Amino acid sequence: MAACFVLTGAYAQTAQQDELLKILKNEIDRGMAFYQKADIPVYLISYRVDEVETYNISTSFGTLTNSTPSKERTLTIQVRVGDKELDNYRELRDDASAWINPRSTRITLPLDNDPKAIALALWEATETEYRNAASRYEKVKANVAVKVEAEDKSPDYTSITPVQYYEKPIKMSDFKFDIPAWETRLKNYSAQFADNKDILDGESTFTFRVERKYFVSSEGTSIAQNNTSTRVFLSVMAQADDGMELPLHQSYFAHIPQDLPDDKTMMKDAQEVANVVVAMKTAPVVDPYAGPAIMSNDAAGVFFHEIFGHRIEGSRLKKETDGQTFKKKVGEVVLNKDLSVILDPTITTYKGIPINGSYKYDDEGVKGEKVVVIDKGVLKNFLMTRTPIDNFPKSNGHARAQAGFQPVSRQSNLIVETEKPYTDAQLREMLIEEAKKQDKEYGYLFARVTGGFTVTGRFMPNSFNVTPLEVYRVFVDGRPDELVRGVDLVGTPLAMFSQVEAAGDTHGNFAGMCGAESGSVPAGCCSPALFVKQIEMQKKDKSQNRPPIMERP
Amino acid sequence: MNFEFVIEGSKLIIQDSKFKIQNLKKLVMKNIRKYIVTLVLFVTGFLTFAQAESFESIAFRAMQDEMNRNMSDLKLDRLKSPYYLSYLITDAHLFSVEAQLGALVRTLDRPLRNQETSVLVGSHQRNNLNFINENKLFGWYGGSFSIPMTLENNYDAVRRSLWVETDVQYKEAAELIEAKFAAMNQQNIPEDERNLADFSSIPSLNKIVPSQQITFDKAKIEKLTKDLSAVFSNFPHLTKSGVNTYIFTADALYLNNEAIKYKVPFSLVCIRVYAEAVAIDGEPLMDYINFYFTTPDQIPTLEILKPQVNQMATLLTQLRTAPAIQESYSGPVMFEGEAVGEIVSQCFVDNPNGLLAARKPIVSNPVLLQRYGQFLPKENKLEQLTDKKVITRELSVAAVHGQKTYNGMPLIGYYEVDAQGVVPASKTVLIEDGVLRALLTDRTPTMKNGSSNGHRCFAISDGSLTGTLGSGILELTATETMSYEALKEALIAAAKEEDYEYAYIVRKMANPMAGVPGLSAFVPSNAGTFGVSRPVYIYRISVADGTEELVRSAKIADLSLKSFKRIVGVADTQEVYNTLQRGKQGGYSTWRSRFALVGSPASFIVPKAIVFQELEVEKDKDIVLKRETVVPSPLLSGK
Repeated sequence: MAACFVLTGAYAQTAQQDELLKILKNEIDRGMAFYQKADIPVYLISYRVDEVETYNISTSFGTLTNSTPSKERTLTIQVRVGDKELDNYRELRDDASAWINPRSTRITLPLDNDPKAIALALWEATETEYRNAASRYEKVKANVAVKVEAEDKSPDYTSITPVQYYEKPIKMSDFKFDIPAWETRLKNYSAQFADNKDILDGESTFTFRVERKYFVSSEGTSIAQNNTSTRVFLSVMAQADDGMELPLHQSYFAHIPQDLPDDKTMMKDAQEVANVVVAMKTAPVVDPYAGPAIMSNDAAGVFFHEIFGHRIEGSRLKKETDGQTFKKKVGEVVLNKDLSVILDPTITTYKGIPINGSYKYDDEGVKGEKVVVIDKGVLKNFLMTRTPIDNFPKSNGHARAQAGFQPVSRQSNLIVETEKPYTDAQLREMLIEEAKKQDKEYGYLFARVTGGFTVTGRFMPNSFNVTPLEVYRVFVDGRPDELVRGVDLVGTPLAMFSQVEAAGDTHGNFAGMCGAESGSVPAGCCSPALFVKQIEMQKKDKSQNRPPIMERP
Repeated sequence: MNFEFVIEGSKLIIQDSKFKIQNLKKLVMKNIRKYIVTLVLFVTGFLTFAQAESFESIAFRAMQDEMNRNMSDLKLDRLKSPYYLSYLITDAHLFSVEAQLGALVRTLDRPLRNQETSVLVGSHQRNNLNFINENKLFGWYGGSFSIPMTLENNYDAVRRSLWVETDVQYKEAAELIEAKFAAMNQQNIPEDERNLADFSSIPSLNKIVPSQQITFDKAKIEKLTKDLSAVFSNFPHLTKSGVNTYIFTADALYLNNEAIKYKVPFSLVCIRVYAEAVAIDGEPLMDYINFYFTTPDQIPTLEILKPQVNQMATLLTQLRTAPAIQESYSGPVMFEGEAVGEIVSQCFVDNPNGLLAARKPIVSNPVLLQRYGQFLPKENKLEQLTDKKVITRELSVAAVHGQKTYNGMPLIGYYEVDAQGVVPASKTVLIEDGVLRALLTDRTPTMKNGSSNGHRCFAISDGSLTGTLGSGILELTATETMSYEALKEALIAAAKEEDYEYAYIVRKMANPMAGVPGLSAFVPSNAGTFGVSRPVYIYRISVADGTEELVRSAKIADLSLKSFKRIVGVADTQEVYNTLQRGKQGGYSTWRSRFALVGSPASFIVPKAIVFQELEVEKDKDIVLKRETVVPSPLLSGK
C-alpha cells in the first residue's frame, strides 16, 4: 500500500497544490453560491472522482488473450435539496420510477487536470443532477403526504464534522510490476489446464488496479486517498455428461503484485483445481439434504456475508420494503455466544492475510470505523452511512459505492472471531457425532464456494443461497470423503444462524466483489471454518446443454 | 513459444522470434559433437517452421482442420449433420483517443482477435435460416462459455476458439431446423414461399490480399485530437463538446466448406467531433462532424480540420438564438449537401421497405406475430414493386464498386469482396429511370432476388468484423439536372405557386449512427416503423428576396422513399457522403472492447441538392425543453 499522510504542515500545502482537488472545490463553491438561492435550494453538493488505472492480463490454455492497460476518471455527484430532516433521497414508497430511472450515472472526466474542461463537465452534470434532485424532492413531499406514516422516524441525513485528508498521488508506474513476467506466469498456469481434455475452459487472469479517490463536498470535506489491489484468478470448467457445468476457481488477492503468492504455489494450485474439476465430472449428484455440515473457512466467510452481512446494512433497514431481520434485535443473542462479528475497513491485513474491503474514508467522506456488530453472540450495531435509522443516528463510515453509483451501507471486511477455536479434526469429530445423532450416513463438508446471493425484501421469502464449488461427503463410518456435485446451500437467516455450533482455529479469506444497490464493491470475508448442526441443500440449477460433441483440440 | 534444450551442460533458451536460426547453427557447429548434429538440425528445422509461420497461415490451417473434422464427425443422435460451415476471423488493432477542450479523456490501444462461426443444417433449399421461434426471438440459444481468440500465433489456441463456437452453433442449427420443419408441417405455407430456397449458391473464391502495413504516430494523433477539441474553448455557450479519433485496422480471414477463402485488409479512421448546446427556450441542440478516412495517412492537418470545427461550433452557437418554427408547412423543400446523402441513406437503405432485400421468416407460433410482431423481421414490401416505378423517372440508383475514391474523396463503402466471399459487380442497377430493378442482396434469397449481388458488407462491432446486409457504395443519379442556383430559383418558384412566403432548405439531417451524445432527441424511437431523423440545420428562404434564416425545432413529417416520386429538380453536381450504416442485422456492441466505432461503412454519391415537390415541415412537439441553468457555464464566467 502506498504511504498515507495526515493533513499537517507540508502535506496541507501538497493538498492545495493538487490540481483536481482545486478544480472540484472551485466548482462546488461557484455552484453553491447559485444553488443555495435556487427555487428549491441545495443544502449539499459532493463530487466523488474515482481515478482508476488498471492492467488486465488474460490467458487461455497457455496462450495470451489480452494484455491491456486502461485509465479513467469517473465522476459521481450527489446533490441534496430540502433539508436533512426531509430531502430528495428519501425512499419513494410504491413508486415505479425506480424501475425506469438508471441506478448509475457514469460521467467520464478528462485525465488531464485542465480547469476549463473539468469545470465544464462538472457544471453540466451538476445541472442535470440538480434538476433530478429538485424533481424528486417534490415527489418525496407528495409521497410522504399520501402514504401512511413511515415506521422509521429518523431524519434523511446527518451532520458530520468536515474532514480534510490527503495522500500524495500514486500511479501504476510507481510499482514494480513486470508485465512480461506476469504474462509468462499466467500462461504457465493455464497451460496446465490443456493437459486434460475434460477441461473445456481453462483460463488465468491477472488484474492490478491503482485507484485514487477524490471526495469534495460543499460542507468543506476534502479527501484524496489511494488504494491498490491485485488479483489472480485461475478458473477451469468441465461438464458432466448430464449437462451440469462444473466451474472451479482459485483466486488470490494482495494489495500489490509482489505480495501475491509465489509462482510455485500458483502452479501447484492450478494443478489441484485441474485435478478436482476432472474428478467432479464423475462425482455423484447430491439429493436435497438437511443435516450437519462443516463450512471451510473460505465458505464460512461467504456464508456470513450473505446470511448476515446484508442484513446489518443500515440503509436497507430504513426501507419499508426490507425484511429488517435484525433491526429490532439489538441487545439480543442472535448467534452462538462464542462468536463475534466485526466489520473493519481500517485494516489491510488480518492475521497476515491481505483483505480487500479496506479504505480510510468511505464514499460520503466519513472515516471508516471498526464496527463490532455481534459481540459474543449479542447484536450490538449496524453498518451506518450518513442516512440514519431509529436509534442509530451516526455514520460509522460504511457508505460505499462503485464509481457512478450513489453510496448506501455496504460491508467492508467482515471478520468472524471465536472465543473457542477448534481444530479441523475436532470440527470433523463434531460433524460425525452430530450426523450419527441425526441418524445420517454422512455429513457434508463445503470446501470451496464461488459466492452467493440473498433476498432481504418482504415480498419474496427472506432467504439466501450460497453456491458451493467443491463439496464432500464425510462418512460417519470412516470411509474416505467423497466428492459430490450439484447442490446449493440454502436457508433462511434466523433459522440458520441458530444452528452455528462451533468455529475453527484458522481464518480463511474470501476476497470477493459484492454487488448490490450501489454497484459492485470489494468486500473481504475472514472467517474460521464453521460447524453447523443443520443446513439445507437444494439441487443446483443445471445446464440442459450436452457437453461439446467433439473433443477439445 | 519457448523451446529449451541442453548442449553439453549449458542451457540455451530460445525465447522469441528474433532469435536468428543462423546463429543457432553456428553455435551448434562450434560446440557440439558430430552425433548431436542430427538432433540439433531437427530442432532448428522445426524452429524455422514454427517461427516463420504467420498468423494468416496458422489461422487458415486451424480453420481448415477444425472445419474438416466437424464436417466429418459433428453430429447429434438422430439429428442432421451440418452441411455448411464458415469461419470469419478478425485480426484487429484498435486505437482511440478522446479529448475535451484540449484535455485528454481516455485512450485505447490494443490488439484484438475474434471469430464468427456459421453452421447450417439441411440444404441450401431448406436449412435453419429464415425461421423464428420463441428461443430465437428471446435469445435463448447460445453456449455457456466461449474461449477468447489468442493473441499469439498458436494453432491449437485458434482451433479451440473455433471448436466451442462450432459446437454451439451446430446445436442451435440442428434444433432450429427440426422446429422449422415441425412448424412448416402444421402451417399452410403458400407454394411460392415454400419453394423459396433458404440460402443461395455462389462461385468459389480464393482471394488473398496482402495485409496493409499501417503505421501512424500515436502521439501525433493524440495531439491532433486534443488540439482539435481545444477549438471549443472559444465557444462558451456550448454545454458539452469533444473529439474522438478512432483507428481500426484489421485483416478479415474467411473460410467455408464451399471453397470460399479470402483474406482482405480492412481499415477505417474516424475523427468524430461533437458538441451540444441549449437554445434560449431550452431546446436541446447538438451538432457533429464525422471525418472518415480509410487509412491514417489521409488524416488532414490541424490547419485544415480546425476551420471546419470552428465553423461547426459557430453555427451551433447561432442555432441557440435562431427562432423555433411555429406554423406547419406543406410545400417544396430543398435538401442540400450532406443532408442529401443522409436522407438517401435513411430512405433507401435504413428503411424496412428500402433497397435491402428482406423476406418474411417462417414463424413457429402465430402468437409471436401477434404479440411481438414489431420485433420480427419482415418482408420488404418494396420488392413487390419490382419493374414498377417507385421514384421519379429522372432518378436512377445503382450500387457501384469500381472505385475507391470519387473526386479525390475516399469511398469508405468500398470493398473488393463482401463478408460472405462474393465479389460485387462494378455496377448493380437497382432503380433504373425510376423503375425498381433489383434490391441489395446477400446469400439470403427473397421472392424476386434469388442470388447475392455481394452486399453482405463488413461492419465493425465491439472491435471486430461482422457482416450485415448493407449498401456499400450507392450512387443516385439524375437524367435532368440544373445548376444549384437554378434549383434554388425553382424552389422559390414552387413555394410561390403554393402561396408560401418562404420555402425550406435542409442542410443537415441527424444521422442515427453518428455515435454522438445528444443524438436521441433527433432520432425517432418508434420501433418497427420507418421515420426519418430530425434536421440539425434547416433554413427558411424568403420567396421575396431569397434571404435565408436559420430556424429550429422542425421535423419532416412525411419524408420517405415515396417522396422521391415528386421532385422539382436535382443539382448538376455530385458529392460524396460517407457514413456508418446500421444495415439489416444491426445490433452493434461496444461493451467488451470499449471501442465505440460501430456500424458498416457506406458511401453515397449523390447530387449536391434535391428539391422535393411537397413535404410537411412542422414543429416537433415531442421536444422536452430544458429549464435555464441555475449556474452559468464556467466558460461564461467573467465574460
